[in-house]
Amino acid sequence: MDALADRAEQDAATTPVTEEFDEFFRATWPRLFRTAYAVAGDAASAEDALQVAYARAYASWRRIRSVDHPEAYVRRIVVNEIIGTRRRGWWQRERPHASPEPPGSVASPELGVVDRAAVWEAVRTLPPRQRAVIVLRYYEDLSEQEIAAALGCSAGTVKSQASAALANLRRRAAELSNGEPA
Amino acid sequence: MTTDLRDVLHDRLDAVVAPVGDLDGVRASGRRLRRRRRIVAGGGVVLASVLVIGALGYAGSGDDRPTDRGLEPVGPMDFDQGLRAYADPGHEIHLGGRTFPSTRLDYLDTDAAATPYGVVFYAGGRPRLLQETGKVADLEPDAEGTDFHPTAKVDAQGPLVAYGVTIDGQAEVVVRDLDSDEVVARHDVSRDTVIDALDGGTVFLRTDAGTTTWDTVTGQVDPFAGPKTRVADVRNGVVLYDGPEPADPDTLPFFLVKGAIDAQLTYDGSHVLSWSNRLEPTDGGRPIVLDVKATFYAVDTDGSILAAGFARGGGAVVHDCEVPSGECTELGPLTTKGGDPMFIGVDM
Repeated sequence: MDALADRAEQDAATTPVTEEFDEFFRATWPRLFRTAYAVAGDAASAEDALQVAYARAYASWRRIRSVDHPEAYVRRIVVNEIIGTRRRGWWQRERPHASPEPPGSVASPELGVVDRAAVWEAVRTLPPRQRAVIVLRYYEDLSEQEIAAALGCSAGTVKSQASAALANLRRRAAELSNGEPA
Repeated sequence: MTTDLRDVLHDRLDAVVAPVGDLDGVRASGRRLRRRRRIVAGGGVVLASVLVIGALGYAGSGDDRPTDRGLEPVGPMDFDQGLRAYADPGHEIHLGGRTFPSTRLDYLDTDAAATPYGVVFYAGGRPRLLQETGKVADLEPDAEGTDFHPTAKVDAQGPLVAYGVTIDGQAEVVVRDLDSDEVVARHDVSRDTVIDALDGGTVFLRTDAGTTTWDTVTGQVDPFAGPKTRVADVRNGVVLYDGPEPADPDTLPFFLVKGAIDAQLTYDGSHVLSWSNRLEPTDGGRPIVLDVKATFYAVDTDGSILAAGFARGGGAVVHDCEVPSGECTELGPLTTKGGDPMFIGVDM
């Protein structure tokens, strides 16, 4: 019965609205894949999260198609899918990590004289939520408010997570540059 | 060399070749999800039944009144603490403190609207009210069963609900007082009309041309915003919208707040609920932080917040959280055999 209903909907599905979705999908998939890949750390998880997010967007497309940034809607689902709120359950959500430096002490993404590969590896070792903040801020160029909306937290939390992430990056990148094991 | 984080990320990520996205798979999953949202309870079988009934009516069987089969009373419920209407799609529905197998309430879906007086839903294209007694009332006995059934919306300031109906071939939006069971006003609309919100007797109606407000007291209809603006919610004079700011905002009798299309306002319009246990203020006040972190949230009919989070060992746990205290009480477990938890009347 599901297959029949699916077929019936599919037949009726080629409309300007669905064509618009297809265009949105093709235009945004590559960039969001890279973001998802950076947050997830592997291509398979990134692709899975994107499939879920775009399916949700398709299901609600008539409602969200006219908003300013449908991409933001998809990005939010992708990131939250990856950082585990849905798969691992709320009890396994990442707890805030102790920051090796006081919040606010790292105000800039300048990480000092370290190897680029080491910085990338350090990004990959960040806890998922911190990694998401870093990717959204420095790859997607989102504001603190936009990141807060994507992660479902306050701008203050974004700020403290970013601060902790940058401190962690500095420390880990330096360790990796010095040849210490990951 | 000073390493710039932004450069590192772009160097690494811009070089990643994205695999070709599976658009067919996405569309298939999206269609399944959309069907599941429509038919929270009964799955494809119920969809088929509705389609068959509709087809018989349109085929000129001589009786185009949809049957009331399946709308038998389900026994009394308790709405004093809100409807607490949530479901494991296709498996179980929780409503008014009771738990029903999905087949018992197979007419409820996310297009239904939870009100303090019960759930307004469509059966055979006609609006009905599942009351606290467990009985189903036909709100528009003269209505025709058509495919015009925009999601009903509830007024947080009074006992009003807005729904769609077709009479003598004309699509109408009707506002009914559920306390007195009287129609407050009717308004002819085009069949592509969507009811986006109802607040203080003002209905926000949207078509492809844009959003208008219909004042049910004066009957006046005014343009509100263009087609790119979406009204997400309206409560207590506060309009939560996405997209471009409505034209001439200073002249509008509403307090405008920009937010996500799938966000909700608390009943007093003071805070925004958006996928988080932290509700941001609309007026510069203090945020409300709920005691529990969950994944899914909805505003209940008594103004409290329902929160569903996945539970250790499987399934989900649903909490009812008071505002503004944020204090949460566990309502109980919810199976997740049918997928993510769903709230009746929340379609995102």
